[in-house]
Amino acid sequence: MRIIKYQVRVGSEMNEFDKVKLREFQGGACSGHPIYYSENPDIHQYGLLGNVSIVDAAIIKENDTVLIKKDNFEQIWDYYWNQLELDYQKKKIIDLFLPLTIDIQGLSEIEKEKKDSYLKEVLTEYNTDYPNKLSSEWKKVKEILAPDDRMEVLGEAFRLTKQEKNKIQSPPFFELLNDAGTENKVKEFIENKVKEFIENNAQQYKTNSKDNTALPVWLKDVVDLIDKKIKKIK
Amino acid sequence: MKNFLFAGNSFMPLARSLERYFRYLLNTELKFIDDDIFVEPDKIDLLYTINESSVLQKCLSWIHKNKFNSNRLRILGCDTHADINLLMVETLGIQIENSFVISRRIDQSNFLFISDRVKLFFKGHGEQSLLGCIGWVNYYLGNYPAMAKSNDYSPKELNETFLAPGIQNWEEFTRRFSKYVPILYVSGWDKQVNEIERCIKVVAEDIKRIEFSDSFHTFDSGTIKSLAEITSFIEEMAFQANRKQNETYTADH
Repeated sequence: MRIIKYQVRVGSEMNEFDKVKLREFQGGACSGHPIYYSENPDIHQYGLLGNVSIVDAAIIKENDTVLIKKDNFEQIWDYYWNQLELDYQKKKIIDLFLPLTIDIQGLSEIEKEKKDSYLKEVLTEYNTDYPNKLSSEWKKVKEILAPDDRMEVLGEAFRLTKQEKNKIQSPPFFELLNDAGTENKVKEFIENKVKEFIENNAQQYKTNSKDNTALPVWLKDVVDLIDKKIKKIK
Repeated sequence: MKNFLFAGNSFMPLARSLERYFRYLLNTELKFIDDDIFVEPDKIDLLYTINESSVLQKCLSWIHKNKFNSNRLRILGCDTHADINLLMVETLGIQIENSFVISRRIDQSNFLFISDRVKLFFKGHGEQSLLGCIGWVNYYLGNYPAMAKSNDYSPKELNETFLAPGIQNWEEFTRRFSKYVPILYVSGWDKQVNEIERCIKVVAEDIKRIEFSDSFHTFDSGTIKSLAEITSFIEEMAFQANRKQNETYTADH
């Protein structure tokens, strides 16, 4: 296993707090968790700091060492720390599925005769590179909220139980999107799955009277679960 | 009435979903705009944007650049402070239709991005306050004519003691002001912004004529008057911002 070590170009100016941060970057108390920037796809393709433009711009790679430029150290730390906020992850999930949620709502309200053409336009969205982007963002969310046991990145108090992790679900058609390829039959199959999901969800909303939000059931369940965890910690 | 949406590249999927919703459910067009698009808006046109600092920053600059009616800006977000709360997706249609008719200013205290910028505008980033800055301009440039008449200074000494620091503070003031103009414009200070911009033009024209030579510079009579007006507008805005913050503080505690 090749773990690339982090160093910060601060030399003697490094204070105690910076040293603690650096220790966390290098694996911290839970040695081996994927905070590090790994290029080995067998272990963990990117880690929390990998493949992110803000990070890429702030590091210099020298053999087995990743050097974080001094000027960017705080910025990278904030970026990393934000990733571990449950509130931030909740927002990310909502942002990810808000377009789909609005489309589902629209289709639940639309007159019968316009429905097919509306749905056709929504499905066109899933024939672009949008699903790939969605899928990669969703993967990042799962790496933080619902990773395999060995790959936990959140502090113990913030971690979800195995049962809770199972509830962090994307729409069922989601896993298929990446494999869509160009074959028409596969595309048609996936399109039907998307259509089925949208139609099934169009009438199912779960309203929370307290915050007056109304989201499709699957999304509301995920959001509620994270909210509950946040409340418990506070 | 036309509907515009300023969403930025990262929110395009959301923008397209909203566009479909507008077209199919509300039978109205939602046009996408960005930095490069210039429109000649009608006073009743509506502009929607996303409550994300990176998008808001650009959108507010666009509003100012295009002289868009800032009372017709609507902010989309995922909380109850937003004009349209996207999490209340079941009432999306009603919320949007309501936004067509209401005309009001943005309540800056509801939007962290805007209220933070307003605070920074007056307080500065660790340097002197904006009022302090314009105060020094008034002191140096305002005293220049009287000092020139007093014969206590040679033209060279007067330039070094009054003109140079006056211009330096003036440049700092205009730099900070122009950076924050879009924020002030949508925060209900559009009239003050327009007036200050008019005064800045008067002063800037006069300063452009200054040559650091061995002769005294004769300031245009409008310059000193304009500097006083700028100070008065900034004081008025700072007072209002302070009052607003105290109101928010009282309400929160």
